[in-house]
Amino acid sequence: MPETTESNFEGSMVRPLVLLMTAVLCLSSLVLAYVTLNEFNRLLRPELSKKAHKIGQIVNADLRRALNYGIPFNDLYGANEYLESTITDYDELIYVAISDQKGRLLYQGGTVTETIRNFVGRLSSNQFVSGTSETGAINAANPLPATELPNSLNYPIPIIVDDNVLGFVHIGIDRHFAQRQLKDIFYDIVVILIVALLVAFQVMLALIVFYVTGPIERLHMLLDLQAKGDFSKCLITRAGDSISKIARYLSQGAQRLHEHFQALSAQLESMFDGRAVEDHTRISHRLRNLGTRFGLSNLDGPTQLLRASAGDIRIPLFIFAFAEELQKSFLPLFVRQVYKPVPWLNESVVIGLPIVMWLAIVGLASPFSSSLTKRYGSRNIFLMGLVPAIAGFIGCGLANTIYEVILWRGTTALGYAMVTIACQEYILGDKVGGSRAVNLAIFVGVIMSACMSGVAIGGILAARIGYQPVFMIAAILAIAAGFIAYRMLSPKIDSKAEVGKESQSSVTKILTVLTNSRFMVFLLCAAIPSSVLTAAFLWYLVPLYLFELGATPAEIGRTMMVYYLLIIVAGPLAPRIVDRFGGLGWLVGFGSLLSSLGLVFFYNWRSIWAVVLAVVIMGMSHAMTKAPQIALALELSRREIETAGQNVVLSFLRILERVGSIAGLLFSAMMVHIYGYETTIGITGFMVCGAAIFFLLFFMITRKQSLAYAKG
Amino acid sequence: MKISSKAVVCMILVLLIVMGLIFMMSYFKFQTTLATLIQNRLTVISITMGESIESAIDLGLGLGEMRTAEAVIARAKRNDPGIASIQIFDNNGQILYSTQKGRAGINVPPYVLQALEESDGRAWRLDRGNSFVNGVTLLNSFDQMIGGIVLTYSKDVYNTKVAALTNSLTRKSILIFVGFAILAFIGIKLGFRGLGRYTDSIESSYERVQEGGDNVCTIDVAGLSAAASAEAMICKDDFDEKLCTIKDNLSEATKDMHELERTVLKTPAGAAQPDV
Repeated sequence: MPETTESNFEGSMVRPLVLLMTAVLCLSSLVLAYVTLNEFNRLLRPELSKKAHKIGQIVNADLRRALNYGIPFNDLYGANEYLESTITDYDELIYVAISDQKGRLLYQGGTVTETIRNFVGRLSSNQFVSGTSETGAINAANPLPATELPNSLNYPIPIIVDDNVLGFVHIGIDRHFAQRQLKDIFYDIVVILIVALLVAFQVMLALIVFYVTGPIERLHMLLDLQAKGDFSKCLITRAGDSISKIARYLSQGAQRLHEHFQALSAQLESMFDGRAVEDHTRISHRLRNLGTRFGLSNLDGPTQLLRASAGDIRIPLFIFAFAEELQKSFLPLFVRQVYKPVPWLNESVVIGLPIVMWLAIVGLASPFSSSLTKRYGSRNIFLMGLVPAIAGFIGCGLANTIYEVILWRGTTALGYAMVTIACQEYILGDKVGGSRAVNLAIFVGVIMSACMSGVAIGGILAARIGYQPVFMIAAILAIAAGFIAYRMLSPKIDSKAEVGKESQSSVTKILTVLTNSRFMVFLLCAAIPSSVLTAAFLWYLVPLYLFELGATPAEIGRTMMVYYLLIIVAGPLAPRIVDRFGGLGWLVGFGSLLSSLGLVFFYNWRSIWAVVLAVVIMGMSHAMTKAPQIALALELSRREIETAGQNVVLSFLRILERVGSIAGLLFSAMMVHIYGYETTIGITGFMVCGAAIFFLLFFMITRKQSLAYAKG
Repeated sequence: MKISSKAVVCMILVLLIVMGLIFMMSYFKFQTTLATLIQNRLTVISITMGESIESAIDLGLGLGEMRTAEAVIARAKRNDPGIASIQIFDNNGQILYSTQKGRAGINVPPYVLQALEESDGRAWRLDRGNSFVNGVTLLNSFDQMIGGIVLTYSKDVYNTKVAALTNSLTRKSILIFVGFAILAFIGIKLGFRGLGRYTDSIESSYERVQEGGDNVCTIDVAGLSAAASAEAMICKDDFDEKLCTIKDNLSEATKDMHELERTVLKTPAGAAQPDV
């Protein structure tokens, strides 16, 4: 699994497990699919046989009616067209043919191969050669048994007029009908397997970090401290494994030393009451020295050695984000289902409102969640955030009106902001192992994996159990995430406070960024258009347009999944191609241009494949440009970062991206109402394309300034 | 619980979810396929009856004047034992002919008229929980609606088949699940053998170093993969050395504390020492 953020130790432990998991899951799915196919064949064949007979009887009756009018059997006008039309009516039919007494094929509809022709000839001849007694037993209601041919099941039904068998109506049913039915769920099975492997990878990695490398690392740190003569720390563990046992032994040693030291201090304190002051000072000084030398000064005994890992957030964050993403492939469809006309807003805009609400609340609640996390701790805010999130899921699961959906999506957004920010602050904490960049990569990796899995599985579930039960499943998953977070997140992890210049007010800080023209061009022509494409095209237009083109929620989910899959797979390649592009500006500019080309080229091709191609192109280009966009933003605003701080610049970028997404989504919704989906997709594509060209031109013109800036 | 047991539980859980989802999809697919097949067959029957009745109407007979209508619906019902009832009704929804005695003269249920009204094509279908309801619109030679045929098919056969699939597939799925769970269990136990040996060797080395003696630390990284053994944080020399230093540090701290007690408080040597 391509994730570069784990160490060799963890990687080498997880890799065989993931391989084993892949083998077990693929093989078990194959065996189950084979068993299911056999069951389908066994149980559907009698039904297919009944249907074949029914069709055969109808053809037979029509034929006899014609013959009764005196039309010669081998001169029926329009018989081939009639049989052809019968074929098109029924999905499971391959052919319908009529043969005469001698086994000659007189009329046919559908595909009649040489094998079928030979069989028809043999069957008819055999029946008539073997004698009348046998044919006498057969009639339209009691036909000959079916014969298995290479691709079909042949049901011969005799044409009997005046007690004479004139020939046979042959009904050819697709022998692979059951297999064809299962093919429909084949893609879903593949999606489930991919998701299961991603889940297994995340879970196994988290397990290894939580139960193996984490405890070993903490033991290693305790050994280092005690070897240096520092007995101020201990490890609290109740597990029965070897590492925990040693940690306990070492901690108990430190504990006893502390107790001895405290007892000695108390004893000295009580016995010095009547002695000379200088003796007291001298002894106290020696005691203090001893305490400092061996780390025994803390009156409460050794403190707990805290060493959290970014891996701690893997499972709870994955499950929560997965639950939240379940709705993404069908939310606009669900909203349309509960939609009732609003007098002052058109339908397309109203359908987009829950997404708008979600974006707005996440944007507004994120800074507030960040300060809450710093005050109350990541674990507490994670758990508190689950309350509105779960309420939102349940609310959507029971919603009957558009207003309820908007309200509950907003509530979920509040929970989402709290939970994700709590996780982000957790991994940036002082006592968390690993570098900031690596930990952030883990955070983004988990969110992207959850997006990919959630979107796909949500679509599959919605196609089978309906939209609203999926929200209930999301609520259950969020509860599970809460239990796991309570168990896995360390309660005493504080996040690092930003080292910024606090002298300037927030407004002044933001104004300094606004005066940077290069940053503003980047923001308006690359960063915001990229967010608009995600919100307006991927989350809003894709589900609605694909549904209009006849796609099921499962197919919509699969299409959207491709975007996240490409981000996960192609994202790590981005740093390698930065140099080839001769700098971040060119990469971001060309990436932005490329992301819109799919929309520009295919908007007029009214096909599911056009949408898939546009999503693939967009996914590829976003995979290449998302991380470089942040790097470019930091590069362009280097001077502002010096005065305002990195967080102010990045927060400003994020807020404006969200505002841009909301504006873009509402604009697209209005365009849909006026021009329809195709034209709106085209307009969105052209606008992003135009912005990207302007960005590239601007960066080409101001290149010298950029170089001077870089040197300065 | 050991890490290997936790990994087994996780793997089994993922396997269970995957197989559960595939089972669920197959189950729903079977239901849809079987229902479509049955309803298509019923549509064929309805349309055939409709054509037969319309050909009589084309000859100039009124819908309520057909002597053969009863025979047509009775034959259709006889040919398919799953059919519960067939009714022919007029434009107002009043039943003219029925395979059920005493039904003629009363009205068809409102959902039939509603389905008739909402249908785009000539044939329509409904799933009424315990029965499939299929129908066709009857048209005269001027393509005006003169009534309809409604056919009710009991879901008994359908339910029996779905139950048969559920039972059989559940049994087989459990067998497959158990088989692959055992395979996963064996695989994980084998996979974690190296790690188990590594951590056990750390514990036994610790105990031996505590008991005293040199060169007793034997940390076993042979069972780990090359990358893992290279990155193992606790290695033989390092561990041995650190444990000895810790032991010395503890003794030194204890000794210093006793010295302080002895010198200042005149406490005799050999007083209660902490067992470290």
